[in-house]
Amino acid sequence: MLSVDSVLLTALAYVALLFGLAFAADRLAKAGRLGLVQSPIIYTLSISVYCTSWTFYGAVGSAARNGIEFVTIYLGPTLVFIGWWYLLRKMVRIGRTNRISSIADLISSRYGKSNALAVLVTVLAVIGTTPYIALQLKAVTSSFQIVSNASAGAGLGIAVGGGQDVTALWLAAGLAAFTIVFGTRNIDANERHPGVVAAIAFEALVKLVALLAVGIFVVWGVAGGIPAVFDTPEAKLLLEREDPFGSRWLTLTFLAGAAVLCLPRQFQVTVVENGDERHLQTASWLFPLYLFLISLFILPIAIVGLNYLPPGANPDMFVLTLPMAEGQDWLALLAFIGGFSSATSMVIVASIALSIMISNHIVMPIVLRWPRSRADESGDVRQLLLNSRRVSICVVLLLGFLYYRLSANSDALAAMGLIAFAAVAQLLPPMIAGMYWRAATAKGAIAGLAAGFVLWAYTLLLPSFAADGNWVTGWVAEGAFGSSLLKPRALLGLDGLDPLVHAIYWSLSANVLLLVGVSLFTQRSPLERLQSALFVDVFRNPAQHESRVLVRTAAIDDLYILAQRILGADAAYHLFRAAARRQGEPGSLPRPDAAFIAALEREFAGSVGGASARVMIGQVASGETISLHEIIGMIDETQQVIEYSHELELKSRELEATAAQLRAANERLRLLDGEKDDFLSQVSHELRTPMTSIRSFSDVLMHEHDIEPEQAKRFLKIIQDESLRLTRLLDEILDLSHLERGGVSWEMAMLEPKDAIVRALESCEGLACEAGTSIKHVPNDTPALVRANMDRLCQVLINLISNAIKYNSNASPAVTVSSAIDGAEYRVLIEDNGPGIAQADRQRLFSKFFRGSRQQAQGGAGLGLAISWEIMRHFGGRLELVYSSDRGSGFALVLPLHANPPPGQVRH
Amino acid sequence: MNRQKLFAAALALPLLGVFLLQSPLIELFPPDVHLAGVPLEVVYIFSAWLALIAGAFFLGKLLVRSGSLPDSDTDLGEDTPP
Repeated sequence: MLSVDSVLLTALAYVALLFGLAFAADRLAKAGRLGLVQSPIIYTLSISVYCTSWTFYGAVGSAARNGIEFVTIYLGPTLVFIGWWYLLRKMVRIGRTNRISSIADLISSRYGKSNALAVLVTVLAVIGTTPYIALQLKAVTSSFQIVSNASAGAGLGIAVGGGQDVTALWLAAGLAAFTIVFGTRNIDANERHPGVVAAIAFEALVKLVALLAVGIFVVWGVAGGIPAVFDTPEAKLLLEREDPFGSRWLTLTFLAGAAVLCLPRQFQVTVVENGDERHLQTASWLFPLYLFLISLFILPIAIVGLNYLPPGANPDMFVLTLPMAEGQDWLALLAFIGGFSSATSMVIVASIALSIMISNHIVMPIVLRWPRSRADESGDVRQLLLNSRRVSICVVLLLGFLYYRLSANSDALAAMGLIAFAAVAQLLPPMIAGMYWRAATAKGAIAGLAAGFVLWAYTLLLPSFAADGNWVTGWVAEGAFGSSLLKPRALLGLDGLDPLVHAIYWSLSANVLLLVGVSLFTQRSPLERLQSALFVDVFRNPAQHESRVLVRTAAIDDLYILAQRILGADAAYHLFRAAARRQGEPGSLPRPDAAFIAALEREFAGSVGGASARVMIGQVASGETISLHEIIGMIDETQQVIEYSHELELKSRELEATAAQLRAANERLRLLDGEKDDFLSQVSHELRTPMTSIRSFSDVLMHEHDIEPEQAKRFLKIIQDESLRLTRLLDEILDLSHLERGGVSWEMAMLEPKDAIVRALESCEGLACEAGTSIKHVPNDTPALVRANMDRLCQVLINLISNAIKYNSNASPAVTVSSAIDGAEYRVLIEDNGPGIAQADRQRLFSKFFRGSRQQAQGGAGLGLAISWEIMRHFGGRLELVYSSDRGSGFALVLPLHANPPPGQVRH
Repeated sequence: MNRQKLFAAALALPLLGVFLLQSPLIELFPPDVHLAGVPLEVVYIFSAWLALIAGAFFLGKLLVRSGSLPDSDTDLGEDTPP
């Protein structure tokens, strides 16, 4: 039987030992002998703050209720730590390169140093952690009650009233004092607390030794060996239950894995307090081993407790009550100290982590927005930070105490461990997405977190308040407002799931869906782009790349004053002098270039958090521009390779298109070359026919002397006709080549196209009479003006009409000429009822010397249409074959209308 | 083992852990069969756990030896002199 005094004295002596240890570690660290404190073993032991009193006492309780299931809480972290190379290493590297001070800082910095996100995460962390602190207070007070009040065999954890509140209050006050003394001694650039780490590492050893001692005693001292433990009906009852490895097993493992990454206190010891990345390698096996050893005796203790202690004994206290029931007071005291260690270490680290978040993300932004506290005014930011942290620690512990008071008589606290895990698991999606997915946006993270948080509160936190007859019970049974779709434990009618699995399913699904969905439809700000590149590619892009992208200028004096206020005079002096020396500047002030400002902002971020540091630098710096080009340059090699191959693909597609064009051009050139040859042979041929007749007739005239004058005259007439034809042909060829080369000398004027039609029809009347063709003119009286040359326009019309007459083989040939205004164009349509133009000929219809296959018999050099086409081109219009069939064809002559004819310029 | 394979192993180890401890494989070890007085299920879970720890121990040694971690407590946030 232990007296209250002896227990109290032991506890106080233990606390004094912790104070001394923390003090010594701080002294060692100050003296520059960090090496002793910063060993990988101590780092690993400090991570063991994961095992709180919820483990120390609660794991046995959990095993006594649910059998083997309790190991999931330790398997999750094991899986995370043995996979350290991909996740933890990246997290630690990001934390160290960007001077991340808390998990809120990590998430906010990644998403463009968003303060809203930082506040959201901080609030979530406080809400998730406060009940957990209350749980620790309760564990210590009830263990204190049991170990000091109970006589052996009695008490046994059955609630003992009175005096507990005083114990809890004193405990909270003592913890606040310890945390303030060692947690807020100074604002370290890296937020490391060697004294605290040393103390909690020691506590980790104490709780492990205590639990192992109790375990060994229970197995070999009470039960009499391992087989005796498991060869009991209780063991059968506990282990041979139905389907322990279902969705709950998986969910619990996942939750525990998420918690070891996202719990504020775990982030603090794993990332913020990390002094060397290689320590992770030791922790990767040593921490799982620690968890393994902690778990080793949990099941035997639970079984033996159920077996040896009377029914109704609280299984959460078996670790304590078993040695007491066996009269082992000293072992019970050791167990009490073990539980005390596990509770205090959690409260200390958690309140430090929360105080950093509250001061950096809630107090600092408010101070920075306060109009009187602009950066150019004096005032020590350090002192303000330290004070706000001290107040925050007290507030956090007070909140924990109040929560403990309010829920002391309900069962809510026991379930609190998993509820807190589920709360911080909401941080996992934005954190993982932030580290691996460049396109995740702040809006997506906020939407996901908010939704996940609300669903967590509704489906998990709210039902935990259910007590006899209060409204929560009604909601849980009937659904909110009587709607069965809103039942907190069967949302939308999803029934039959374990409540925890149900809550995790809904909250994390909503969280992830919104994070991804909103990110897909929102844009990142330039700063977010930069931060995402720095985070996702942390192994490729050192933080100093930031200065390549973020260009700012500031007066060095302003920066120095700011640095003094945030870092302290000595630290600021050393930092500036070191930077000046690196830059090769004389004196102690460096050049305030972008690289220096970026380095300084990182330094500040280590103290006040990323978002606040940015605002503070922003108050003295100006001209902040973010170069998107540089950000794009920073994206990782894979991305570059992907883009490069994409570019190659585009290029090769372009090349293919160009090659196709070249092939087409080549084809056309071949055709044109052939046409040129044709042209030459055609010209020779055309010239030859009149030449031949001229030569033969002149021969006759020269050699035959007895030609009658009448005959001679006729021959001379032929010679003259033929030479005229020759001249005309040469004129046409010259005309065409002139047109084609663009050398046009005729005068353009405004004219009414219908005048030209009338003139052309008059000219063709004779030809039509000769051929017996009926010409129908459909006149158009709408006044219209086009810009053209009257003679040339007539030439085109005559050419078309005479072609229509000449090549018409119809029995009753007819030609129709009509005109119309079509939008901004004037169209003249010349239609005939001739044989039409063969399909094969249509493409080359307007080529030189082209005579349609059906018109071969007729004369003409085949230059008419080519010349007409060229003339129309010069008028800015076109000549086209509108339709053609064996019942006739239609040519259209199209001219652009002149919009506003200036009066008096019309030339007839 | 070359570095690429080492990095792959670093990913494979936690996946193996998931396979060993989070799949129906566990169901192969019934709790009503005892091995040295301990239910087979418990023996399996704890020995798989220990095997994973051993794997992490040896893999960690190899990873450190591969030289892929920064050498000492280098201040990663500092700008290096040009």
